[in-house]
Amino acid sequence: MKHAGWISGLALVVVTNALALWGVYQNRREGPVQTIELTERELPIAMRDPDDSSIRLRLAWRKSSCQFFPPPENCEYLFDRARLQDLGFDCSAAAGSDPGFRYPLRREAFVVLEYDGPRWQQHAEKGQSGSAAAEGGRPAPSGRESNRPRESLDGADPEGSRLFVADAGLSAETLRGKYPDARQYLIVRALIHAILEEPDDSRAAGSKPARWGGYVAQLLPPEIHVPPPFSRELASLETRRGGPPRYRVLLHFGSRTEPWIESVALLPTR
Amino acid sequence: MKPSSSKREAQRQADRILAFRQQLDELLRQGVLELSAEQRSRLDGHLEGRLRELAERFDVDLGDSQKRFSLGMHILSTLGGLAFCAALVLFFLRIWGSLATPLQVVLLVAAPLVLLPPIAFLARREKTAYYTSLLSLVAIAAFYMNMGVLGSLFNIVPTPGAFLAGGAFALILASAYRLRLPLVAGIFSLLIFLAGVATSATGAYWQGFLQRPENVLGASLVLLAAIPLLGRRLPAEFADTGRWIGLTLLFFSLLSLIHGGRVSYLPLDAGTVSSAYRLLAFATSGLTLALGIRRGDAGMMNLAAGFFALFLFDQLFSWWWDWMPKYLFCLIVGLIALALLHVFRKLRLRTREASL
Repeated sequence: MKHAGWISGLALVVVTNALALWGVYQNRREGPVQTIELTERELPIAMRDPDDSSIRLRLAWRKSSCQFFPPPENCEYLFDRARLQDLGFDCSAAAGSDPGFRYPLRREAFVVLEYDGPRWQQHAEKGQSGSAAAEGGRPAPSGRESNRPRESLDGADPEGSRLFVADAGLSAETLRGKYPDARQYLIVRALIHAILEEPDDSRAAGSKPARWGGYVAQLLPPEIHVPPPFSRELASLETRRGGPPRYRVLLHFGSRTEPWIESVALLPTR
Repeated sequence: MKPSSSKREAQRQADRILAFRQQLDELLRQGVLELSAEQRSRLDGHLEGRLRELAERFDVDLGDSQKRFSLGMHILSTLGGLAFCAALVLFFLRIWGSLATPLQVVLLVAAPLVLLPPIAFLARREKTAYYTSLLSLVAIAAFYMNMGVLGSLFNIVPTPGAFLAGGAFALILASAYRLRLPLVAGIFSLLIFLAGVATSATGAYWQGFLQRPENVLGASLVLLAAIPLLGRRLPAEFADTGRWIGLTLLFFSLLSLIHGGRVSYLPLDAGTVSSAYRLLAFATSGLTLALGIRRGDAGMMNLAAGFFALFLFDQLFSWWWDWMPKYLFCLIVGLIALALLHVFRKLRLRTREASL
């Protein structure tokens, strides 16, 4: 029993790592379940500390305009009450309820991200026909909002992400049955945020009735690690907002919807 | 004299011997007691031998100045451990990008493992585990870094299970080498795990556990219930530390529920939730105070009395602050403090009479 302490510790570390690596193997064992090629527009380099030599990419999607503060008057949530209930939220609270019921805790779900599809086309056309009107419909970004990457703002932004939230559900299989085209529809894990917006809520517009709304708050995992040798290719690139894409990435997703990068190719600069 | 089984018991024995020697000197000086030279020399020899034995075997502090040095060394070992943890993590971040993935995995797994044999070696050599404790903290940080970075390397979705593994690792080190800081790290890790699992059970994402204080309250109750269940298998100082952490978290979560009834799971309006938890806060702090007095546990008594007073003043504030003149409020609070002092003085006298 003299060495029991460090031997038990050693066994625990080995078993924990073995379990984690087994999970990675399970995710990739049958090859990629989804494969998609995206550019820097959808996978910008995540902000990093100068002391951090690793590179991570952030899967950028078009957010609901209701996610920003202050939201525009006519902001639209991605999910209504019925869809939030499908996702497991208890939307029984009525207007005037305590905030605990108005802001339920975030829940995990699968979301369908449409890539370069009808939603992007519609968005781009709207931007071309009346970008001034679209931009004029919301307050000018200020403070923290002005620092957000351009592709995340829901306005006319021709260089932003072409990933749009198309649907959400609790089963990845059911969603895949509904959206079989894996090159256009990406199914990922996400955290859903729900809110009961009150008429007197400062976020809501003047005399609107109370309404339930929800949006994708975060994708899981939030960032994707770039392994060597691809990380060396991206190391010289700076984190930036907007501009033509500088690289494209072939991204795989396994059976546990955990992604990995298959390849990165630098694009010729214009 | 009963042989000591732990450092804490040894320290108590040393303190008793030192106090006895001081009192003896005083009695001899006052002429209340007389000892022959031979008796005195035999007694001194016995006491010095016992103190030497305790000092050699358990590295106990012989006097107040030594105790102050020990405290300083404990603080230094904690700060040193934290600084080494930060250095380890920052060093990995610095070199990370230039390493191939298999090498990264090997280094991550090896980081906590290579520290285990030196910890075991130091624990055998040290009487007071300053360096053992410091190195154990670094090993715990290395294991957390191992799990966290492995997760980000393979884009694994975070789960509360990492806190179960990290907590178990910290508790293994704590129990194997009787270390207090790894014990605290282990208990907090397991509480996060429990609160995270409880949050998941409601269907919400596990990392939201802090937004519902009842998760922390439940986890602290589990901890408090586990201590008597483990009974004598748990070293006394571990039970004390666990009880102290459990009670502190219990009282703090009650306090946040009193003020944030709206963030409760209970399907009631915020006012009702707040009142219910206020009653529970008084009941639990009062019962803990009574239990502390019964067990003669000064730490438990002080903690419970402190929180009872906090709950009481908080209640008075919410009742009277707005409508009563401020000077009157302060006067009433002062009078209540005097009344509480009177009650505690009586309790103290009663315990003194019992011990005479």
